[in-house]
Amino acid sequence: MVAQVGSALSQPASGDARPAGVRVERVGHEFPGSRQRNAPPVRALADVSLDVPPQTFVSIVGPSGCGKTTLLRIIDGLVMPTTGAVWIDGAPVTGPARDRAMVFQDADLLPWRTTLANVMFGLEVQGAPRAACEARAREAIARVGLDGFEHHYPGQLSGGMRQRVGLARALSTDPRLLLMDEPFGALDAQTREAMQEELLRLWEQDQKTVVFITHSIDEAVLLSDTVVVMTARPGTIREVIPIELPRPRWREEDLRGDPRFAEYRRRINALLHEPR
Amino acid sequence: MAQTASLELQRTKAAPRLRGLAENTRLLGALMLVLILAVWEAVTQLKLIDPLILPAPSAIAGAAVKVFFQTREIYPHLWVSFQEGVLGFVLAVIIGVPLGLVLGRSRLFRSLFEPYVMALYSTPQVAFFPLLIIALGIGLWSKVALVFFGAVFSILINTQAGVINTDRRMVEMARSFTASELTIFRKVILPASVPFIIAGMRLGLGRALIMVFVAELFSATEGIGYMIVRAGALFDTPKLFVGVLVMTLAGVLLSEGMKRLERRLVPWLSIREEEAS
Repeated sequence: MVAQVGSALSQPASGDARPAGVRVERVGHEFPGSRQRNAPPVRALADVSLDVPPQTFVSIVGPSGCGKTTLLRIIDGLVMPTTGAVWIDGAPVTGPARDRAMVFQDADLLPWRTTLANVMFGLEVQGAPRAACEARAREAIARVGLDGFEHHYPGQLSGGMRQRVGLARALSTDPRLLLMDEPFGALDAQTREAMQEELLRLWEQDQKTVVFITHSIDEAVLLSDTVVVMTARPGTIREVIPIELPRPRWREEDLRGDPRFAEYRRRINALLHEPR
Repeated sequence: MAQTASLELQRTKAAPRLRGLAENTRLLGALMLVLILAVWEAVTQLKLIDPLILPAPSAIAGAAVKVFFQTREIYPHLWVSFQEGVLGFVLAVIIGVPLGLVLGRSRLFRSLFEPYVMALYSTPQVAFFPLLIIALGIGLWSKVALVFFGAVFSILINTQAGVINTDRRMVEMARSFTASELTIFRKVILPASVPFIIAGMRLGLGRALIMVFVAELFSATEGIGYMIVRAGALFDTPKLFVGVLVMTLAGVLLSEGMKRLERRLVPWLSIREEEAS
């Protein structure tokens, strides 16, 4: 299945498809308050700087409400930061663009579209010709292992399958940077592990740059080249930890038994729970 | 998890018996209808109730045969009521849906117009009818206008609610894939609103039907409502019942039609319902 895939997907969708490098430069963000509801402004992020070299998998972990999602949305261009800037291969982010694709927390599929049509959505709004949309969508569906479910509606799919659709939708646009916002957070433990393995396998194929947000320390260590630990609101970067575990990592039983894995876990856990 | 699994198990076990019961209920329903008609017929034949108030089913059937096949007097009435209802309702959809979309999209328009929409919606629209007659005469158009007013607000308000209730996350997802505002409207907000629009149309249809009758009650020389009023005035209760039954049938058929439309336009919801049941 995997072997025959990739011909069209490895073709760039919109020009350049080399994995991108991301530079987050002193980004701060403040949500305006509301005088009506007597809510003061909320500082979500303060002075966050981060370098993500091309082809690296970076996870961001942090307590709830530390602005992880806001940071991801700023990198995607959905939110403009109050201060600082994000650069992708030297070009400033001014809004969403085709070189990035996001996988959302709840997949955020359109309930009136079938799997195929949902996966096509990204390419479709980016203006790809219909036939090409469909071919690439079918390939992405095969890549995430959803063949046979092309004509199912999201309401007929399990949570794990819906996330696969969301992932296929992002992959089909062949982004240079993949942004993933706690994509497996709502899945049960078993499905979650299966999806992690799947993601590792997919990542080995094209080694796209990935920024991945998660609550799970295990998940972060397992998947990443680098784990970024953030502090609570306003979110700042507490520490950047390179994960020097061998790749490919999809035989995760071996990896979880590795003493280094346990050490990374212990260290990140300590950073998250101990006061500075 | 375990609970759903055991429920699943129970359902599969009970399924064949349930299916048998479902077939039986249809039969039982038919028997019930026959029983009701028989009791009704007997009660009126035995003169337990004045047939002037409650005519026998056979008398009603006789009147129906007469107006449909012998005098054929019902067809002009049907045609007039049909015109009033369809024109008024279609206008209500044509105007209500776009206005609802605009009000749903624009906070400015909403703050400017919503109070008046709500006020008009809350007014018994029949109160406008004398004015509509002055403006449009006692012919077809004042009645079309009343049907329109009866139906338009349900449609407009529901459409607006559909737009406002569109999941923000879906809009953001589209934006993330670089969709323009127009694309977001066409490919996310509009389809997300369709179930609401249909619900509004279903409500509007019920109100339209009432308005057809009320309009003909006031001032008419034709129409099913008029036929009912006139039959009442002449103490021709069998004919009155025929008129009422025609309206009932119209209501049932129209709401069934709406259900079909919904299944066609919103297949993803009916599939989920089928699997849930």
